[in-house]
Amino acid sequence: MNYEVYGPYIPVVMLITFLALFAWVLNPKNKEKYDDAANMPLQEPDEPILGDESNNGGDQK
Amino acid sequence: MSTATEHPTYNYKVVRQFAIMTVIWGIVGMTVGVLIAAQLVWPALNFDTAWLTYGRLRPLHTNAVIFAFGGCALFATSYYVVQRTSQRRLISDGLAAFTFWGWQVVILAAAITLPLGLTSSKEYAELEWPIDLLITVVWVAYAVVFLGTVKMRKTSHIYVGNWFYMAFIITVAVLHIVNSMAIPVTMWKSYSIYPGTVDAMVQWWYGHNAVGFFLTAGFLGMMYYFVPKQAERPIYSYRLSIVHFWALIATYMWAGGHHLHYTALPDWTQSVAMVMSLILLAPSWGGMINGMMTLSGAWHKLRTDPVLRFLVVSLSFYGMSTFEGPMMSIKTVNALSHYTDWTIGHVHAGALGWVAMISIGAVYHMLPRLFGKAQMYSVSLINTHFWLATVGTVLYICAMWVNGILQGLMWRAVNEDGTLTYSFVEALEASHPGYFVRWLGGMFFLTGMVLMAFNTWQTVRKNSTAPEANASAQAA
Repeated sequence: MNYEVYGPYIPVVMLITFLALFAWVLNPKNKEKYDDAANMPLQEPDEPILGDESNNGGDQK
Repeated sequence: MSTATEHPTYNYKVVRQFAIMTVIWGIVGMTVGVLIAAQLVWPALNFDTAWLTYGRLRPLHTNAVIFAFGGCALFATSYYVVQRTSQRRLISDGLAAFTFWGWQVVILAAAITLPLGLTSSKEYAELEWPIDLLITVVWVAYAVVFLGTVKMRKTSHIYVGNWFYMAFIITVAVLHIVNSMAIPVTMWKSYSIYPGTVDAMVQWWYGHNAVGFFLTAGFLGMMYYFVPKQAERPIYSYRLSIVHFWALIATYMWAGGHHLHYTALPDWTQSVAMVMSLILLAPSWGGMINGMMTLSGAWHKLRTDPVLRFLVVSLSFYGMSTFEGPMMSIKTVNALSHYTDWTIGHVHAGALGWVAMISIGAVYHMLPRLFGKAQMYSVSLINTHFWLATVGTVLYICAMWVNGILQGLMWRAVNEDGTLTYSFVEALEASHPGYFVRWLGGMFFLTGMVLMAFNTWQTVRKNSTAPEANASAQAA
C-alpha cells in the first residue's frame, strides 16, 4: 500500500484521536483529579532544604 | 492524594551544580556567538587562524548554547521539579552525579574537537562518534534517574511538567541514537549509514525534533512548574495542559521535512511537513495561552517581580516564534525565507526570547532556594538583566528580519532578459548594517548574562550579604 492510498486517512485518524482526547479531558469525572494535580507545585511550603549533602534517610522515606 | 507531612530531603547538590554551570556555559556559548557575529561585520576577527574561523566556531556556538547552556538548565530544573512535585529524593545520587560530570565531559570534548575541525557535519549533531557514545550513556543514566524518580513518587499524580520532561528525555534518546548511526573509519572520522536524501530526511527529522523536544518540550516542562510557582497560583487550565501535551508531541514528529522544501525530498513529504507545521500552531498557542492566563488576576505582580517578567516575556516570544515558524513552513513563504538570515532571526526569537529567558527566570527562581537565601543578592540587577535581554533579543530579530527579506528579494530579482539583477556579493554588502545591529543585540544579551553571573556569585559565595531565608524554614 502506498501513500496515495492511505494518505488521506491519516488526517482522519488524527482527528478522531484528537476528539477522543478532548472527550477524555472534558469528562467531568476527571475534574477533581485535574484540580488536585494543578495544585501540586503549590502544595509544598516554599523553603530551602539545607544539609542534604549526607543522605539523611531521604531514600528510605 | 498523598499527605506526606515530613519533609523528604532532596538531592539539591546536583541541582546546584547544574544551575551554576547553566550561567557559566551561557556566558561561554553566547561569547562565542557574539564573536562570530562580529566576524560577519569585521571579517579580520578570525585572525587568519583555522581554529577561529566562522565555520568551526559556529557549531561550537550552537552546541554550547543548546546543549551546554540549555542542557544544564534542563538538567537542573528537571531534577528540581521532579523531586518537589514527586515529593521524593532522586533515586540515585551516584547516577545523578554521573550525569553531571558526564555531561560536562561531553561539553569539554565538544569545545576541543569542534575548533579542531572534527565534525560529522550534521547540524546540531556535529560531534564525532566517540562523543556520541558518551552522550548516549549519560542520557540513558539521566532517563533512569528521572523516570525512576517519577515511578517511585509519593504523590498520586504525575504533574504535567514531568510529562513534558519525560517526553523530552525519551524522544531525545531516540533522536540521538537514530540520527547518529554512523560507521567509524578512524578515531575521529565516521560516515553516516544513511544515503543521500534519506540522510537529509533523517537529519532534519532529528534537527526539527531537537527543536521540538529539546528546546520546546523540555522548556515547557520548566514553564508548567515555574510560571505557576512564581505567580503563586495554579496553572490556568490543567485540562488544556493535557491537550497541549498530547497534541504537541503527536504533531512535532512530522514537521521536519519543512527544512527541505524544494529539494530532492519527495514532494508529498514536503507537503505533509508543511501541513503538520501549520497544525502545530494550535497546540503551541494553547500552551502559551495557558501559561499567560495563569497570570490572570495577578498581573500586578509583573510590576514588582522581574523574575516573573522573564517567565512571562519568554512566553510572548514563544507565541511569536511559534506563529512565525508555521508561516515560514508554507512553501511559498519558504521560497523567500529559506537560506536567508530570516531563519537565523526565527531561531533566535525562540532561542534567546523563549529558551534563554525562561531558563534565566527559572534559575533566578531556584538559586536563592537552593542556597538558603530569601532572595537573590540584587533584585534590581535582575531587572536590569531583564531589560538588556529583551532589548538585545528585539534588536537581534529585527536586524535579521530586515536582512532576511532583503536577501530573499535580492536573490530572486531577475531582469527582463532572465539574468539575475544582483550578484551574491551585492546582497552581502547590503546585509552589512544588519550584521552590525545583530552583533549589538548579542552584546546586550551577553552583558545581561555577565550581570547574572555577578549576581549569582554574590548570592552563593561565603559571607554573602543576600538575606538569609528565615531560620525556622532552614530547620525543617
